[in-house]
Amino acid sequence: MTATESTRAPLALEDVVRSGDRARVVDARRGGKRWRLMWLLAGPGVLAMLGENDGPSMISYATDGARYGLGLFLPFIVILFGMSYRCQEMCMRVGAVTHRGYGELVLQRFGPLWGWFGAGDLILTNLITLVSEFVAIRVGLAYFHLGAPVAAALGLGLVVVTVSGRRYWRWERVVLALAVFNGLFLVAAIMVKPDVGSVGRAFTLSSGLPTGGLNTLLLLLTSTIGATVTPWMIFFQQSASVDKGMTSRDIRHGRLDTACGAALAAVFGCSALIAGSALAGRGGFTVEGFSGAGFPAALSSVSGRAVGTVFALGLIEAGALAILTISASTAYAAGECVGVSHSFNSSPRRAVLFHGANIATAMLAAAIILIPGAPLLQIALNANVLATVLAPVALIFVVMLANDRVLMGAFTNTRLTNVVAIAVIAFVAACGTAYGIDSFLQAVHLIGPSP
Amino acid sequence: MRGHTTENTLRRSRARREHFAEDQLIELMEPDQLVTVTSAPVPRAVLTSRVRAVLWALRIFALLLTTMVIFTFISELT
Repeated sequence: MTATESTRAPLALEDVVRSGDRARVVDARRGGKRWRLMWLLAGPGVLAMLGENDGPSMISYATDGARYGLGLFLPFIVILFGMSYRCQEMCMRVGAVTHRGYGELVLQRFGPLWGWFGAGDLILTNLITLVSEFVAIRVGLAYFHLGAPVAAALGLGLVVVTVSGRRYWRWERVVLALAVFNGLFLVAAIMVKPDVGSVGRAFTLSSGLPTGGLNTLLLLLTSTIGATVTPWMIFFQQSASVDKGMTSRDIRHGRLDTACGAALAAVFGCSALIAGSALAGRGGFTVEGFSGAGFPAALSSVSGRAVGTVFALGLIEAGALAILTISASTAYAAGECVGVSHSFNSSPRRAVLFHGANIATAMLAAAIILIPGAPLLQIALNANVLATVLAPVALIFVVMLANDRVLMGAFTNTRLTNVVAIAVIAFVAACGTAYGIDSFLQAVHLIGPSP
Repeated sequence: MRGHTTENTLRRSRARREHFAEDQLIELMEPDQLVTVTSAPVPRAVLTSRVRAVLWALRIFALLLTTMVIFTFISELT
């Protein structure tokens, strides 16, 4: 049944703009234009996945490579993006079928307590992650001898410019254009001339578990998980799918969009690790040794100035892209939980909270990085750890929503989807718990540091 | 004022896509996709006591771990 077949409800500006976007989708579908249809429906999945290839994630991957070489982490990243696809596909599907964001569905279906808990988790992790995105831009810019004020101005300026487009479609296309430059990490990986045989062998898992301190290994494992499965991605992809106007007819393309995003993110993530592995065994680098302009500068000294430059530009792009998507997810969550207009298609006057939260969160994070002496890499790694710790709660609600027959009708999860999703949640929770407890016990001196 | 803006935007949309009339444009939307419909809340789910217990257990687990991670982070800094 279409909107005109039911009793016509009064139209909002948001409806009119969205119907224009839908017109192009229907036109392409009727005309059998497959590639155009894919182009029109691509966006939320690719942006969620490449947005998660953010500054802290790329630093985590490169740190994995620098510390342990290709070994365990290369196949681990691929597996993690497979897990991430499973979670994000559910979000896209729930958004396309219900036309409601994650925040509002949890709040309305399970009660305000759970809704606000989820929003609280998101705001906490998003703020810390946003700080670390500005840190990533700062690390990249430091390579070019530019300071924190430039990083703050660049990130904040991007948010303001993209929001001023006043249409979801425009915002999405600008951010997608920026996301293309995530490929710089692939360029960096090729430039360090990795041994192809070693890369291939890494995927056979023949290298076994890496050596080193248990706590550092757990930190890197947990932060790597936090680099692929996070609460903001859940909020973002579901809300963006709704804002885009996706319907149940678009689920197949939504899956393709999410799968393409996961594949691209896995390739670029592995590339960052391969680039970082050029530092393995050279000069005794430690996890803490990469703060400041550390990574690009270290790569520059080992593999040449061009590699350092490409990696630094990649970090700036990764941070900038994530600032846009993470600010957007905060804005969606704020609008959904308060119950006011929350769309890029709404004017700033009508959606004050949405546009205000989008800019204000970026502004707050930008202000924090201007504080001198911030422990850069620790913030970046711990942002992902916190995301890992809070992800299971958000994911369990996604599974509950995707199984809700009242909301989803014929589009509920299959049994296999549920088994895989629960396994993913259990794995993420186990890694987060192991790191949280081990590092806490060390902090209160109940156990000694790992050998 | 808002109605006037909506009308203008409709007119512009119509001019841009001559082969889609106003009704057709709205027809492209699903009925529950319109803002007036999505503004109304969905019915509250009835959770069994077992599900509520699992949710609370997860929530407490997340809060405890978050506290541990933040404590560790701060103690590392100091």
